[in-house]
Amino acid sequence: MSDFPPQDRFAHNKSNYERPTKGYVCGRAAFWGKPCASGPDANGGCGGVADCQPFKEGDRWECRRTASQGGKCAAGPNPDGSCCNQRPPCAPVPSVRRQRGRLALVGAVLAICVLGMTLFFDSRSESGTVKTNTLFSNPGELSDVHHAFSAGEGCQTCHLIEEDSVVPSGFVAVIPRQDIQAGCVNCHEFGGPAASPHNDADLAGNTNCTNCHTEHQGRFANLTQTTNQQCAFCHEQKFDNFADHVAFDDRFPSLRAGQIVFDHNKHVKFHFQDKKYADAAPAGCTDCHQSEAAGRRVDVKNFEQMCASCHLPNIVESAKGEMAFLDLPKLKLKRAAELAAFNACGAEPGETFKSNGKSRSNPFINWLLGAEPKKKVKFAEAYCGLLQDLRKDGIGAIFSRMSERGVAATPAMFSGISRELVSQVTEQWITNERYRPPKQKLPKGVSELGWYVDRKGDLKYKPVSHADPVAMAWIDFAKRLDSAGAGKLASKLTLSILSDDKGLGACGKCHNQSTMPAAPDSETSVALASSAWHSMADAPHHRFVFNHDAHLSLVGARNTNFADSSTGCAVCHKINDESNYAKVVRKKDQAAYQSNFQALTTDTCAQCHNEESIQADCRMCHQYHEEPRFSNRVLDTMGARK
Amino acid sequence: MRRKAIIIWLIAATLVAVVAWQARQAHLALQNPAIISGYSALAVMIALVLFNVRKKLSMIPLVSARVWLIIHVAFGVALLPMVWLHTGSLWPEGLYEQVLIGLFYLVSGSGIFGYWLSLTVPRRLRHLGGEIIYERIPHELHEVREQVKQLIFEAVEASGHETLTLEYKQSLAWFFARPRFFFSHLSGSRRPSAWQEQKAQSLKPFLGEAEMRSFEKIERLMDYKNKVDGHYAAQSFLKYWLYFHLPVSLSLIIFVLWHVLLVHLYAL
Amino acid sequence: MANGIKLVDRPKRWQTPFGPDMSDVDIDRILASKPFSSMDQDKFPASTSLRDIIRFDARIIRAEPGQIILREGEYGNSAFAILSGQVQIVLGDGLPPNLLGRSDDKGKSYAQAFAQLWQNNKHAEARKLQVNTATDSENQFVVLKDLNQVFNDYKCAPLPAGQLFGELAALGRMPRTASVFVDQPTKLLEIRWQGIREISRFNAEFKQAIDTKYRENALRQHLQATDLFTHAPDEAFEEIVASTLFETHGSFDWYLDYKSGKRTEPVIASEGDYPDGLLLVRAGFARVYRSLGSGQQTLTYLSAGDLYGFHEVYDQSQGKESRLETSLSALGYVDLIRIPLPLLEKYVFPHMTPPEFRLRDHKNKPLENNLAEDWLVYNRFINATAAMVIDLDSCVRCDDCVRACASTHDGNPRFKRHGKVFDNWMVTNACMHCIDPVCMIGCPTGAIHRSAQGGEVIINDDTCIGCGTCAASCPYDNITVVEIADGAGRAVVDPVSHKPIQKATKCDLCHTNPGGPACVQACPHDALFRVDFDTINPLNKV
Repeated sequence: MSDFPPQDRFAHNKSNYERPTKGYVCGRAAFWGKPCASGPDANGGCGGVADCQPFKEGDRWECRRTASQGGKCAAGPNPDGSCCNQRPPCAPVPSVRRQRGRLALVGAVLAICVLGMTLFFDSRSESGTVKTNTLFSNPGELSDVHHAFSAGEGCQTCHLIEEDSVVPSGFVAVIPRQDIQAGCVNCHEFGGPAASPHNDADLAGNTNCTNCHTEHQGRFANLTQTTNQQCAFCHEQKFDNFADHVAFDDRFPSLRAGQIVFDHNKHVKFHFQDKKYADAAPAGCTDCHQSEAAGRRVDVKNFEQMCASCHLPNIVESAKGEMAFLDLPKLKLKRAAELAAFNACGAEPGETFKSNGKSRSNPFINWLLGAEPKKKVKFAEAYCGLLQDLRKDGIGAIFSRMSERGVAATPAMFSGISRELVSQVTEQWITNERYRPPKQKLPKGVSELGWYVDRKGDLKYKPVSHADPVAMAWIDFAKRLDSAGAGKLASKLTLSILSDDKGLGACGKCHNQSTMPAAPDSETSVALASSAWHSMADAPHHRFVFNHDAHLSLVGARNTNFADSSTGCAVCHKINDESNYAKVVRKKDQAAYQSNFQALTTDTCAQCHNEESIQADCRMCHQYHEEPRFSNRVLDTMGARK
Repeated sequence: MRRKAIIIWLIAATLVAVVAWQARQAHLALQNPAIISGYSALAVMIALVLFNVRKKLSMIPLVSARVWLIIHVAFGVALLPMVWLHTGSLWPEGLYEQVLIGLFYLVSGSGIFGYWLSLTVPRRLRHLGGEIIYERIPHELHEVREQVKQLIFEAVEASGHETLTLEYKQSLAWFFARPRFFFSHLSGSRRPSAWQEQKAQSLKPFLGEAEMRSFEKIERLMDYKNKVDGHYAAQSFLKYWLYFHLPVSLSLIIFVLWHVLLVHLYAL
Repeated sequence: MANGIKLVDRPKRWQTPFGPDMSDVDIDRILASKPFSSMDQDKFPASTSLRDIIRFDARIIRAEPGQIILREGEYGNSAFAILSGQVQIVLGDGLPPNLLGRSDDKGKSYAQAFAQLWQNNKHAEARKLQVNTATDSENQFVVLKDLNQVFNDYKCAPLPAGQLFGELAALGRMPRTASVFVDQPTKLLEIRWQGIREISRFNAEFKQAIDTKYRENALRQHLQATDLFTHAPDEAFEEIVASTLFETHGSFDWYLDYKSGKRTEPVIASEGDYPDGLLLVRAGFARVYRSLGSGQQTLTYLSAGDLYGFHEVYDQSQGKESRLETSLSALGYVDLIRIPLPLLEKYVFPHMTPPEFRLRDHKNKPLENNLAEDWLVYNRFINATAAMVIDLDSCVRCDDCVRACASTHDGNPRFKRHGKVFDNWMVTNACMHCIDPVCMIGCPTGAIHRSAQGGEVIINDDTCIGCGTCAASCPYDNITVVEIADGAGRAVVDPVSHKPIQKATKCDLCHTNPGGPACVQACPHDALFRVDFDTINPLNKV
């Protein structure tokens, strides 16, 4: 026998084409048997039950096995004309490639099934909410801050579902509305449009919250990471260390006048040195500035703790201002018609009502009566009516009339006024008597406080304390008047209270009135922000953050004294001897404003922020967003929780 | 070809660099870098899939398949950093994302493994000697089996002893029935020839002259069959790694498309 | 297969005549004209009478002035006899391609190629089974518009009636050496080469005339084309042609011996012989070797245009005692031109620097350096112009090449991914498109032929009768005879004997496909190449 494999096995008539494009291979070959030459047919059926189809040549059956299958067989066809090489049909098996194709199909179907299942399970939810932690398509856990509050509503907290969505309700959880930003601004508000860079409407471009704040990054992911390079993408001033920082404003950090006109220079250099005030004077900055609660601001203590010892008398006693509430007019009754008007008051013909003071009523009364003093009869009638009512009902007559005029009174406006006082004043006027002051005499040097009737018989008010509640109530009233459309009256009224020389309590002497109208008839708002009363309101310094507390321990600021400028606050905040703060502030001209501290420069910061170990990136001092805050919705929720 | 390969690898590397740079710029500009890296990765992924399409369109000149393979491998490798760039981590949060990247790793891993196979196995096949078309192995084994039976028949006829018949029934039939020692052949272990030597040693003392002549021929056939078995094992591996790579790729593509859809619905 | 059979008449030789109806009158007239009038019709056997040869293997062409009959460089499978009128042969550099009307390959368009994706039959070897009587569509004639211009610009030589032309290229399976057109109404008889072969078989004078004509026409042209005589003046060629010797070694039917296992190699020159002239290979192959120990070491092989003994002859002319350092033997058959020493001394050596003898270096190199050449020669792969070679170190046996092949051939592969292996190189059983395609020799219908454009050896499936002669002739087993099926996959048999209808099939180098061989295109691992062994042999130009 010859060697194996035979030499001629590649001969043209021994080796047929191998057909890898066929989808099936012989079932016998699959079990390592001898495959038949013809192999399976194209549809996977057995193609080799017999080797050939014998042909009857004359009366003899002849083998028709082809050369490629080995030529005529030795045995020849069976007598019945069938091939002698018969086999039971095999079950062809798919070729390797077809198996692979089927497997790929299975893979695809499996993938689609898994997706379908997730669709099914993810969309199933109780009461229409989808819990994030059970969601297959949830791309990751939310950060801690968002994790807790979204637990209740589920995905919909942020992924708002559109009401008119075409998606069937079952799929809503999986196919929600896309505007994710709408979800963000539900809770987060800014001092400008949410989709503008820096929330500044003037800056071109459109930003999306998710560009920077990528959620679903795990519970401990940092959502607010920003790098210097990101800032530098728009800002031309590149920043690597403080030496490169653009110069601060030459009044930095006190860019504009504070809420309280407090001249540090004068106080520290003169008043605190004055022996008269030795007991009351502070020894150092932190006696007034609360270093314990230092943050961006270092708040000062309140009026009572800091100022009252010296300045309280300026308000309650020495103040020149007073508020005339009810000044009685002088009325002459000449004609019968006028007389008729005064019938209500019980006047007699020819009687003349004399006022001790002005011949004209004050603007508030005019507004209250809704009548022009020029139309004498009508005005007199109304005024008379008011006085009668006041006599009868006391101050309640004012309340009802104010309600009629559309701006309701608050009890605080008349806090401390006694019915007797009102009755007395009106009675006297009606009876046309001269006012008699009360019997008891005030001690010498002590003036009248609160509601009182002056010698002319007018009902007036003087403040009883700092932040006098009645004065505050009237300012609030003025604000409401303003928003009700009576701007002119409101201005007059406000000025009469706040004005630092003639105003009630002279508030404006210390409380910076830069936001106040310069003239009483100005149409601009009289509204004084409520924060204006605070000692240190947040200056509108955009997107700037600073923490005093972190610096205080470094400069040794606790318990400093003015004498030592090498430690404590004075390391950075050095008093400018030249400045005349109060004078500048009074001018109410922001451009002329001058701080009474020397300006801080970048060098001041660079003393420390120049080393690698100390943070010196943009975000240390600047924040991206304009006034980021929670919406009322969140605050309400938080309040409710507390 | 080597020059083309270098160029393609360079293009792939450049692509990664460009995408990384673009994504970085987007990140700096407070835009969404995941869009750039994500769609780039998707485009590359589609390009990788196109290789399979190209294979089916061999009748039209769509750049030769050898260039396509280099593109497939180079861009497949380039896809890894692109995907990492996209996810920002090796193992993202979220079950779906984990399934996705799991599939991706499986596809990448199997692809790299397959490429390694295609670089190493052919040399091994050559050193094995002989060359046989995979589909013809059953036929070849059948022929060998028939030869062995014939030899045994002749030996029994000549000697009158049935030693070889018994041996055939007891162990040789097992050996010749189908490819054996699959993993030994894969690992290149000597086990198959050791098995054969052991058979010979234990059998030869009982063989007469005529039987010995036959058995020596049978030994040569066993050598030959070991070669065929080696081919079977190695070529099987060359074919069957695709059993994994292909279906998983297809699943991955489906998951990726769904991911794109989800992202557009939820996050953009 | 169990679903029955399909009956179709078995195609036969001469079932499809070369041209449309050739009447007896025509044939009589042809037989009465030169060169057929001088032939002895009795020497032809009854089964292959001269009459029948003309009836079935020839056709009459009536050519109008300007019509181009042959185009230089193209492959043709027929010769022409001038019955009346005359033809003009273009000499010199020949006509430019635009005048020759050479168009791009009229293969499949991209759309047609792409359509194969779904149009390919899922059944193996399915055929449409339309008997195609149309003749070779490749011989579409082109007309020269301005003959005066052509005569002005190009040198032409007239060939009168009674002459034969084109037979050398047809028989030698070589490209046409010159373009031929007609300048007056001319009647031509086109005879396919099978017919020419039959005639020369039974008519010795005809055969003699062809050989003589070679010397007269082709030899001079051939010598002029070589680099050898670039410095010889035109008038010298008279002498050169007369003095050179023309010899043939080996047998034209070498493949018969080769297939039966005998590798006869007639020795042409032996090591140590006296070098009496330079040998120039005109056609075929020869092996250069030296004896080493008790064997022979193949140094290189020579094919058309190569020289042998140059160095030794040169030394001889310089007065040195010189002997041939290598031996030369014919592989199969080889046509040689022997150029005597005096001619060389007169026209060649004065104009050249001493030749470099590169083969000498081989003596100092490891033996395995020559193994590849030896192997190529031994297996006669040197014949290949497009052998499919697979690098087994890269091949992952994915069969993409085979599938690609099938995709361009109606779902049928046209090669087998096995073959002889040397080192890591496997020459697969795919048609190599030989320089000397011996497969064409026995084809009775001319179904196997060279394509006019690229010279690929292709089989016209419509005219193939499945006799298997080509498959048996191919020394490399690269032609496979298949049993065809109809569109539904049923076996097709002839009604008389119920024997299957067969067709010879082989690689056609995807010559109709855009983009060339699909196998090369499809190989992802850079493992498959189509190789012209004549151009990669580094030593064949000595």
